[in-house]
Amino acid sequence: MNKISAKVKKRIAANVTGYLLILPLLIGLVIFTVYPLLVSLFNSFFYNYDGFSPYSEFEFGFGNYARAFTGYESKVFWKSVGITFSYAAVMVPLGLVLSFLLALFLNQKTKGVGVFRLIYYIPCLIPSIVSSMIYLYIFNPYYGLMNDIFAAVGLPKSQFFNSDDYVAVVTYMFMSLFGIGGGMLIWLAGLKSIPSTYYEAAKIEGGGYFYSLVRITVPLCSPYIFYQLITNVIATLQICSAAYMISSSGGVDDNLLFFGLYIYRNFMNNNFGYSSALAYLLFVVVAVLSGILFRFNKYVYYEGDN
Amino acid sequence: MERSRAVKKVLRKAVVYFFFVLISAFFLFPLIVMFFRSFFTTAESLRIGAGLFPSGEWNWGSYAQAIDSDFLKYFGNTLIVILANVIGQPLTAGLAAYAFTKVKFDGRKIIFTVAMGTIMLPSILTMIPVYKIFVDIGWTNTLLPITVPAFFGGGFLNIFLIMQFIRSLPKEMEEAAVMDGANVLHLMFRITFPLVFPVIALVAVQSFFFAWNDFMGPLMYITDDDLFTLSVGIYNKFFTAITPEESMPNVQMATGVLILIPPMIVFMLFQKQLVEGVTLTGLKA
Repeated sequence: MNKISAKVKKRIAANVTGYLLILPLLIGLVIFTVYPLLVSLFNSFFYNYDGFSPYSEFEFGFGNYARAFTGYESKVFWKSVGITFSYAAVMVPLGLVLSFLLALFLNQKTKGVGVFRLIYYIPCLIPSIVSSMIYLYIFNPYYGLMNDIFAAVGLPKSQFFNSDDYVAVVTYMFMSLFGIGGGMLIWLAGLKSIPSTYYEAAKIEGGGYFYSLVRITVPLCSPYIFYQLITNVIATLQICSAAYMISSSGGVDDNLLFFGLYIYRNFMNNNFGYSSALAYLLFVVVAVLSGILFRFNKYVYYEGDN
Repeated sequence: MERSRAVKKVLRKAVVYFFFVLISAFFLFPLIVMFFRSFFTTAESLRIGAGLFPSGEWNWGSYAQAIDSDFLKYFGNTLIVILANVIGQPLTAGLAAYAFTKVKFDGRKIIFTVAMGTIMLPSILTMIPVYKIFVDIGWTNTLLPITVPAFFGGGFLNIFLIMQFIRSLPKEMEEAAVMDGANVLHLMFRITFPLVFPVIALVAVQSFFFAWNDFMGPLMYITDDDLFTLSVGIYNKFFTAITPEESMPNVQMATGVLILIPPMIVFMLFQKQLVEGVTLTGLKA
């Protein structure tokens, strides 16, 4: 009898302690995540809901979703989707490959490698307000340094971020190349985790550098490829603050209206219902992409698997 | 034979270093431009073909113009936000991580799974209702919406990270302390947290970077100039300028150099943890 009550007492004590410790987390989870998720979903079904008037004033249904695909908004919506996906289609693979090459190049036992690794990572530390100031200045169409360089090598002047076509997005892509040092660090961790005995074995069998690269390095790095692919795609779909600063919520003729920014702009204009619908569309895309990538996970090599 | 081999080796090294430096030049290019052009005069900074270096005297005046009373005001606000985040996030994350690893309370698995499932959620999805909550309780135009949440969440990736470290600790120390009749608070703050201090420091440093860089949060909640943080204040000061003369690129660059100094110092101090942190969580500061 006594023994049981001691056990019960212990369990109650564990529950009290446990829930007290995670109380802040739990409150935050409910107020800042679960509740908003439900409210957003609810809002997205009220056509043109403005966030403050009573719900009864708005039509219930899929109006906001229809507005994105077919309504008068659809031109801007598709433009934003186009910009975001073309950026992702170019920059996610390019970023992965370039940061991988950088890591390969840095993964050698030469003096001073550590210093160069830090230098390559430094642009990732620059707050976006500072990098926006720098790049807006360098790419200024009238007095920017980049046009000076263009003139020196005989290229025509460019409007860069101010141009009303793809040039703005390409400039944005070039700008984000400075940030591949973060990916490089992850690759380096992957490369370091490969036992050197594998390479020695390949050497004995007469395999050259490229043989080891294709047969050992790339397959053994595949968990890192998978991980970076997911996180980079999701991050790209949500690009917002840097694009906001550079283009002040869309730029000339919406040339830099990334999807995240499009949602934010609608939110700022009190289109709460519509922007909630857009956010849920984004959520569906993110979920589907994560799902596809997780399916690929089957083909990924993990240490210790057979 | 021996000699030609040695020459080859030196040559190879030279080529490698050449490329190391070349790539460094690429990555440092924006910073170099910012640094040198911060010493331009405004007129020179607006000239076409002005080059990289100041043509005459180095103009320290851009720094005097950059550090005006507004800058100091924004800096003060930013410090408050940073303080809240650097204390709040590691604390909340640490408590939760301890509970999930050491306390056997009912329902911990479900709560943990739900919390981890939210990592992939686009933050923009929850932004609007959260905004409305803060509007309804009258917290707009205060620093509360960008400080208080730090004490209620802590970031699930951070929790996960701290948990990994707590799991790797040997159990004996804690068992000995339990024998001596130590309570949970004692176990946490005297034994576990000091032992995992490197990862707590990492979470704190990442919180610092988050708060120092955050732009969307203050932009949404604050319209009163007296409460702006640096990001938003600087944005309003320079990005809404109408004429090129008003935008003063040289002062912008000086401001950029100043804003970059604190994160650089923090990075240099916690370099090892941060680089490890990136490789552990894949987070890019």
